[in-house]
Parts: sequence; C-alpha cells; structure tokens
Amino acid sequence: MTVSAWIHRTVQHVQQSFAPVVMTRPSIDPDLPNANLSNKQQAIGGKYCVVLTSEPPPGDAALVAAWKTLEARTGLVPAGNTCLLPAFESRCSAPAPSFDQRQVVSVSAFYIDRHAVTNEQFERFVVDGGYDREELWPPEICAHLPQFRDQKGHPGPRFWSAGKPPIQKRKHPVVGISWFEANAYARWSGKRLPTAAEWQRAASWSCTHGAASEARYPWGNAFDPQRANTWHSGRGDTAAVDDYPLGATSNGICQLIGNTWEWTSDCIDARREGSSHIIFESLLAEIRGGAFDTYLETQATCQFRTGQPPLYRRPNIGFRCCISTQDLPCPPDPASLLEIHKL
Amino acid sequence: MTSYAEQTLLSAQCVEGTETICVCCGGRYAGTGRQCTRCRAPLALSHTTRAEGRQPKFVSVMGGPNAGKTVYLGMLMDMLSKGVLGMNGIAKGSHSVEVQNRTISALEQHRFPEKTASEADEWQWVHCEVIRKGRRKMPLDLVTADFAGEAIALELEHSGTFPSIQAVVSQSVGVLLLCDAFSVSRDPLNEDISALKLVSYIHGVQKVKSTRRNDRRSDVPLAIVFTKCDRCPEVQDAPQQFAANHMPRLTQYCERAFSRVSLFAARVVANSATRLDEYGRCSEIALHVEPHGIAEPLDWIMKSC
Repeated sequence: MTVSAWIHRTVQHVQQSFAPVVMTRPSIDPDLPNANLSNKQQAIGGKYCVVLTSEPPPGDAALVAAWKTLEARTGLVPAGNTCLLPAFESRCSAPAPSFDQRQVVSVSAFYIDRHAVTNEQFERFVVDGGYDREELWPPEICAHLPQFRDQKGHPGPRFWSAGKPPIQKRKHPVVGISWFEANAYARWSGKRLPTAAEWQRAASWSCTHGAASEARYPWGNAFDPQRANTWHSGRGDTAAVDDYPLGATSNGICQLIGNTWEWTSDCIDARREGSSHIIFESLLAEIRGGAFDTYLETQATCQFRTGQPPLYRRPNIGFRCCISTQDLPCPPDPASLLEIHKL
Repeated sequence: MTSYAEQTLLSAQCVEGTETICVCCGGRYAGTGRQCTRCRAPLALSHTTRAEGRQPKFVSVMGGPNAGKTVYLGMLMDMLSKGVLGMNGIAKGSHSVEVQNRTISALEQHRFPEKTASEADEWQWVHCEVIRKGRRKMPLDLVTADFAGEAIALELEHSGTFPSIQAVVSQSVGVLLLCDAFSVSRDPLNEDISALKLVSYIHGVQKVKSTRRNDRRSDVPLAIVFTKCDRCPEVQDAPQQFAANHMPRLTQYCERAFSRVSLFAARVVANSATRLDEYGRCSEIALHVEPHGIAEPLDWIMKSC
C-alpha cells in the first residue's frame, strides 16, 4: 500500500469514527453524577461536552455547570445554507464562478469554540495521557504516535519542550499539531472538528444575507488589518486567542480569520476540474481562515479553501472544535436551572 | 578603455546633447529608443538614475532555469513596497513594478508567472529606492534584473552572449544565488556542478575585490538562497547542513573564493499541486502564499555592504 493510500484510508477511518460524536466513556469520568468538584474540573478543563453527553446522564447540577460552560466557551451557529466555492478559487480576483460551480451546502445548528484551542488547553490533554489513550486515535495511526513528539522527545506538539508549551504562549493557539492530533483532542473533549461548510457558516452567517452573497470577512467585505493577525499586521507570530476582538463575529467567535489556519474535518483529494485534473503529492486536509503569515488578503477570507497533508505539523496551523446541537441532550428547563442554581 | 564602474559614474552625470550613457553597460546611444542597443537595459532606467543624481547599486539575482528567480524577485519587490524587516522600497518608474505585478497577479490566481523569455529585450528591470528604518544612511538605489535562467546558462557557456548579465554581475554590490532546494535534493550532483559553474562565473566576472592583502577572496557578499522549501522542508531549519550534505563542491568553492557567504532557505507558497490539462500539459498550482526567508538575504547583503 502506498503512503498516500494509507493516509487516505486512515483519514476515512477518522472521519467515520467521528459520526456520531456522542461519547460514552464512563471510565474517564467514573464519579461524574455526584462529584461537583470533578464536574467543575472537567468543565474548566474543557471536557464539558463529555459531561453533557455522558451515559448515563449526570445529575442536574453537573448538567447546569456544563451547560453554563458551553454557553460561555462556544457560540451557537444557527442552521442554514453556505456556499462553497471550488477550492483554489480566489473570490475577488478570479472571475466569479457560475452558480453551477458553487456548492450550496445545508448545515445543521452547532456550537463552535469561541477561541482556537490554546496551548494551555492542549496541555491538559497531554497531561491526561491523550497521546497514550488508544481509544482517541484510529488504529492505523497508533504505530505512528511516536512521531508526534516535541523538541525534547516528549509526546506533544512539535514546538513544545519536555511536554510543556512556551510559558509566554500559554494563551496562544496550539500549533505544530497534525490533523490526527487535532482530531484526538476533539474526541477527548467530547467534540469534533468542524466540517469546511460549518467553519464557513460560523465565520460568515452573522454578516450575510443569503448564501449567494456571503460576507468575505466576519465583519463585512473589506479587509482590515486591525481585525486579524495576518502578514499585514507585522507581528510575524501567533497572538493570544483573545487578541483582535474587533475581528470577532457578532456572536463572539474570535479569530476565525488570521492568527492560525484551522484544520477542518474535510479532505481534498485529486479531482477533475472542468477538463483538467488536479493532482496533489498526497491527500490534503482542508484548512481555513489564514494565519499570521498569510500574505494575500484574498486568501484570508471566509470562503478561501486550501489544504495541507494531514501529518504536517506546521507552526501556523491550529484548530477549534464544535458539536452539533442534535448531539447534545435537551437543555434543562430554565425554571429548574434557577432552582438548582439557588441550591 | 573605461571600466563599468567609471562608465556608470559617467552615466549618472551623463549626457552630452541627446546622447545617453547606459547605466548598465556604459554603451552610448542616441535618439528615443526604449532600450540600450547593446545590453537591452531600459532607457528609462538610465534616465531615472540620472535624474536622481545618485550612483545606483546593482544586486544580481542569479540561478539556473526554474530556480524561481522571477517569483523570488517579484515577491521581494512586493514585500519591500509594503515594508519588511525595517526596509521600505519605492519603485522608480513603472517598469520597476512589472515583475512584482506579474508575480502577485499570478499567485492570486493560484498560478506561477510565465517563464521569463530568453530574449534580453523581454526582461524586466527593477530600480528601487530602499530606505532602512533607524539608519542615518542615505537611501540605497537598488537596480536588478530578472534574467532568464536559460540565458544565464548560455552566458556561462559563451561569455559575452548577454552583455547585460556580465555588466550587472561585474558591478554588483551583492549577489543572490538561487538554487531550487527540491531539485538539489533529487539530483544533488547535477545541481552542485551547475551551481559551481555559476559561482565561478560570478567570481571571474567580479574579479577580486578584497580589502585584505594576500586574500584573493572576493569581498562581495554572496547569499545562497535555497528556494521552494515548501517541497523540501528539511532545508528550512538548517540550510548550511543541507548545502554541506548535498552541494559539497559549491560549499568548498565559496569558502575559498568569497569572504562573505551566507545561506538562506526561502519559500513563497506553502504548498503546490499539479494541474494536468486535456492535452496532457502540466502546470503548477500555488495553493496559498506564505512567504518565508524572502527579504532576509537582501537584508544581510545591505548590512554587509
């Protein structure tokens, strides 16, 4: 089997294994229903979706804590349509693709992280033994887990040292992680990577009137270097995830444009485009949003599509997670929430 | 017979009547032609230089066919026009914007610019005033040209075929030697020898400009730039090691012939793919633009000047 075929098969396996997302891992949270401290720790540690989707369901107090954290850390994106351009099509400079070239995709409602996953958050996954837990990784990739090491040979992102992120970058998005590591973290946290269509809808829905005229940026159609960390900001490195607040969507999802590209769950493979064939050296996982070193404004938009091989651990690719509303239990009745809160 | 440097000085003071002296080769030409009849450098270049009243500094961008000279130079000029590493560039004349325009327009469309034609009258020349922040130095008038790789190869075989190449290299205050890192990793022997030929040509044409006695090495800073590092990530972290491993002849020669050599790794795009059209023709697609290591070699040359 060729390397490309192997990666292809593994990627397919990961994609299949993430649907549905509901997690049933009582061994991770044995004392969930009755231990408030543990629930709180899990919520702070980013595993509130594990709490929400646990079987059997935890107690009401735990659910309330988890729902509150979900509301605080994620933004709800309503269901609707989004319009995917053909990959490698730059919206402003190329002739506008005809409607039959555009792919209108229907997206169900989902919650998406307000910020990209930070080094601090990813450290909890590492400390929790995320790299050693086979259930988080597709079997095909397990033999390759030893490749996912930091600079001193410890399990972790490429640019960490001895299992620790750089101190000054704890609030920066985690980078130097492959697509497989991003997926493993998402699964550990009870969520998943967004699809390309979900990512695009999250970035553009609040500033758009109909899928055919999506806004290019979360704030409108004109590029503004004050709102996103791209090459034009002159920083040349990642910024903390809460920087550039002016670039957030109206429902508070930050830095979808700039700072780091974000892995999505979609893949780009060799394909036919009109009368031409596009051939890649290997399968690519789709990335979105542009990064601190993205040079062309037209490539840091809500619609721009590109990719990188899933095993690449680049300094400018991070990720954020999401969860479909349909994979969450019904929220508790507001009245009972208040009662529980009083208790 | 006057040297190129003397001729260039003459061109800065310039003209008697309607006769103009080419800032590049020192050839005299009259009338209203667009290019020097000898070296094909644009007439506008000599006129702008004369108007500025400053001696321009030539920097050579050399490399074999497909080394990435046009993309590198176009991206460098675009970055300078926006400001990079404390350097700001102001293009002198519309001809100086052309290579930047061709490159950026193509990359926006996920293409690479058309191959540079071998004919000297098709080459794009750049005249750019570079200002460095925090320095009291006068702005530097930088002149360079986008030579075709095939023409450079022909010039190496038959010196004098392209007078502008020889003229630019001989006057250069710094040389950028571009090597395609991916080709080097796949065919190191051939690439090593090709680069060796090029660097020995540069050394021969430059003659020895050393300030130290008994040192026959050239003082002209030579930046060896490994391009297309997106396809050869191992060069990115350690270009010196990559050169030593894959291009030992070039490395040895440079140590003996140049007193100031530095190695760089550069890339313009993060990844590329291949488009195969209905007639079976291949063309490269640029996935997204993430320039790295583009301005650093020029910065080093300017600090070394």
